[in-house]
Amino acid sequence: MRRKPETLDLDDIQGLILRGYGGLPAAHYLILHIADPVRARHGLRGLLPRITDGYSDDARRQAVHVAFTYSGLERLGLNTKTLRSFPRPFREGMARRNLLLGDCGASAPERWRWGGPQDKEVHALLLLFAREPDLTHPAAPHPTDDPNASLAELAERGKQDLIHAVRHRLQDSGLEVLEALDTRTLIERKEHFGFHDGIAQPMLHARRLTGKRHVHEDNLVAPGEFILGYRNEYGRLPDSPTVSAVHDPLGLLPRRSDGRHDLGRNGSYLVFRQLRQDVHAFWRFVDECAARDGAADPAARDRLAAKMVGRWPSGAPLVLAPDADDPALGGRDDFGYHDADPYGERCPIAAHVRRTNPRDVMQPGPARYAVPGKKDSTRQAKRHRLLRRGRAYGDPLHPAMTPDAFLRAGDDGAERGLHFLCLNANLTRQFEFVQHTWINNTKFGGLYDAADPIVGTHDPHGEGRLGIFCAPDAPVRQRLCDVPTFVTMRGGAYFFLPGIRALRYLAAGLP
Amino acid sequence: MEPASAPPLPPYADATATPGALTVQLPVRPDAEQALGAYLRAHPFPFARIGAVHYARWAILPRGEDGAGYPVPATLLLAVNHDGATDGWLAAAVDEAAEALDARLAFCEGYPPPPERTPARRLAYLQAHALPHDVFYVGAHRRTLAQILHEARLHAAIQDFVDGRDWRGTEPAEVRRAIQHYVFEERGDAFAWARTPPPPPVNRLRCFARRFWWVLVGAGFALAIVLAVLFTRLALGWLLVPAVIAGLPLVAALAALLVVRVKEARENWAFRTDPVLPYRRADDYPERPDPRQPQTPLTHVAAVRPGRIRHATLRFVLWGVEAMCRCRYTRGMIAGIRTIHFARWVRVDGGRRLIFLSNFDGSWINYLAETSDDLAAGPLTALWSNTEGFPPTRWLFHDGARDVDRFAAWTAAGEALTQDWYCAYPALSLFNIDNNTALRHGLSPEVDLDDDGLRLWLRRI
Repeated sequence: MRRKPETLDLDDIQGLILRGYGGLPAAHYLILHIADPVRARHGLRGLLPRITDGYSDDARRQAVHVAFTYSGLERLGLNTKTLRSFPRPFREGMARRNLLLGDCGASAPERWRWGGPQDKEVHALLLLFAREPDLTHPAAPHPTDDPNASLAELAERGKQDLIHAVRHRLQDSGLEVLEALDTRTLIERKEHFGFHDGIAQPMLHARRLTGKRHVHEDNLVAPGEFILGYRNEYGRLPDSPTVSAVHDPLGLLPRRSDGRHDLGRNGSYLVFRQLRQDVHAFWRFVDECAARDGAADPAARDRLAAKMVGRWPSGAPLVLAPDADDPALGGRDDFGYHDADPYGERCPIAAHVRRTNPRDVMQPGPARYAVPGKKDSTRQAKRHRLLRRGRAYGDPLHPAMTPDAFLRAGDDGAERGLHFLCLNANLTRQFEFVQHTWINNTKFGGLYDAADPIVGTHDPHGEGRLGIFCAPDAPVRQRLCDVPTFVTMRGGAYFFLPGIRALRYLAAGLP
Repeated sequence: MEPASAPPLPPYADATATPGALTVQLPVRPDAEQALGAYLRAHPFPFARIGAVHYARWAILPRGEDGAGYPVPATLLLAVNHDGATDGWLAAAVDEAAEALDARLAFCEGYPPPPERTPARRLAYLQAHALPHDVFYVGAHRRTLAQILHEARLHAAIQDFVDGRDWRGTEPAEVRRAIQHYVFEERGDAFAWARTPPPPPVNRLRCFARRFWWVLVGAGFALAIVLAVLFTRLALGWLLVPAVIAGLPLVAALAALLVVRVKEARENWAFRTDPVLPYRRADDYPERPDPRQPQTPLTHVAAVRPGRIRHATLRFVLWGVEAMCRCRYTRGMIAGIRTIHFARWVRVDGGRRLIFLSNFDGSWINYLAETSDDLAAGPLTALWSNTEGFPPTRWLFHDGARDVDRFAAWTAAGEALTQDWYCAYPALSLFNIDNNTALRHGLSPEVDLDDDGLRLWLRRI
């Protein structure tokens, strides 16, 4: 039974939850340390008018968002009882959840660039989005056919203005910039390995959302899965941090039925992971695996890479385009596995996109006997969705972004990858579940010993093991037993992205 | 090739009965709880040496309160899933691991002092504290430890053989013949046992008929009378008999459900007005096992709600779930959950507390998601709603575990540490075990496969 769409308090929600800012190609993230809480709160008050809410017209030109880690909230002076009302994964922080998340070996927190136990504590995150200042058509999609460089240049000007303005406000505000993370928009919305990224996005089942278009029923997810204060896919209100009435004498926060004031309402938990991608290693690996009798086989190479990812470079899903890439199908998201591909013969069970969103097949098998079935699987999958807001960073290995170009370019050793950002209302049930039970689980979907071939942890115990990837084929499966790690963690943290009223409360500095 | 250092396996054997489930609850000396916990953690028990053990654990059930608020002392729990009879396993344990047993039982009350410890007294002490299980679920139904391990080895051998060749363009039937040749000819007698297909799964209908013959007899009798009234000149009044046969249990069940509903309403009210329970958080759990291990044990303790109604309801639901486990959940799935290898519910402390022990694939993070799903929530709610602190329910089966945050909080509150846990096949998920058996089935020369069957079989490699 489908519930009615909910009405969101758009003016109290930070706009990042509702928009991916596809029209703002320039983004800049500041990882902050609060050196002086009193001045930081003052700085936050100055910043408040610039924070973009869900209504703001401003979002067509630029957007500013702010989020805090648990220690950041502690530093801002929240009282102990309020702090205790945050959920445990958030209180512990990403670095201490590393075993659960599979951040071991080369990805261990001790080796992160920021956010690890040896680094200065991360307290806050400032997200800045901007577009090129001269384009006046707000609704126009960004011109992808333009050469990348000039577009980036244009966007850069807008961003620099914004960074300047924000930094100006933060001047003498007791905030120390630990890392200034830049991002990059790659051609055709690709990520560094050369695949079209960010296609499957859940859509909030809510009224009055900007950009109305037809959305597949399976992609409509209850807002409570991403925003605190609304019903989730279980039909319940998510767990939310609260403040006692005494500690909110001005009544800045909305009241709950039990008399406490709701600090979480219209907020969300923001997961930030800086993931380094070893592009050359990836393509060299698939090239070597696909080679026949020592001779390279580009078609087999691209096919194997697509099998590992689950989509072709254009974004065409393997279920719809099993044999060759079909750019006309790029970006298609209205498909399932249950009827077309229950065993993973088109899109392997172990493939990255199938693991991170199994859609209507939780356990592969003959459709008649499969439990959970199509409907149950879809319902279960909806309880583990993530709103992704990630962006690439670093220069592409080769501007053409084709496998051949990558292989020709050689290994330049440069730092590039993805700033993976995602939003969810329950860290354990959503982000951590996907990371643990789908990505890193070697037994996923009836497999024997295969973690995600792209982002999985193959060696959680540090025994020097390599990964295994298994792609069903005729007559028998193809198994690769020496998959190296292509993606490593460089830093990360769990943030709380408060609603606007909650931000005002935090900036007020009440006990 | 499989590693040369692989441990020797027990000879292959088919299952003849449901595996044994041993539960022993021992009283711990009041001062010894801490020391015993530390000892158990530091000294794994040699379960591998004794009989054919699938899973086993030593865990301390912490002190607590029963539903009426009376204190319950801490106890030591020994739970084993093994092949064969329970008495036989205990006798073997006393023979093989007397020292290890003594070291643990020395922390317990009533255990004889060192000079008086004889094999007979050890055995008698353990038997005196053994408890019958209320519900026992087996995931890999009708499979011995030896079968599971042998089939895993067979699967690994086939994997390696298939990896070693380029099969592109080979006919499916040809592939199967090549594998059969490799397994049965080239590997000598190593896999000779696999020539015969595995025993077929239990016939669920027959199982039901054997267990509920009285239902069938009653239904048959009622039907006979109805037919007699319809087709012979039996008086209409005879229809009262089937009406009573069918109606009495129905009326009784409805009345009982109504009584439970009234009870629920009062308890739900208490739950709402209790300042602590509704806001207890899901994350106030003690330390949990390493989330990286592929399988995890759960030891969960809950106090049974006071009063005859709750005790009777619990017993009835346990009886029902046990019947389901024997007759329905025999295909590797219990209430839609496909990750549990073994599970059991046992009433301990003289029926005042209910424990749940399970060995499952994955970690608590996926476990909670699975148990709170709609498929599993009904039976679990009916069962656990008879224990303290469970989220509010309606009509025994509704709500309850579907309130996922509160259910998680309730589960966390009842979790006990499993100090010493043993698993004979940590690298095999239940899905893997089933797949291995199916792979072996299709490998057997006695089994004919059609084209579809062949393709399906090849997918299992």
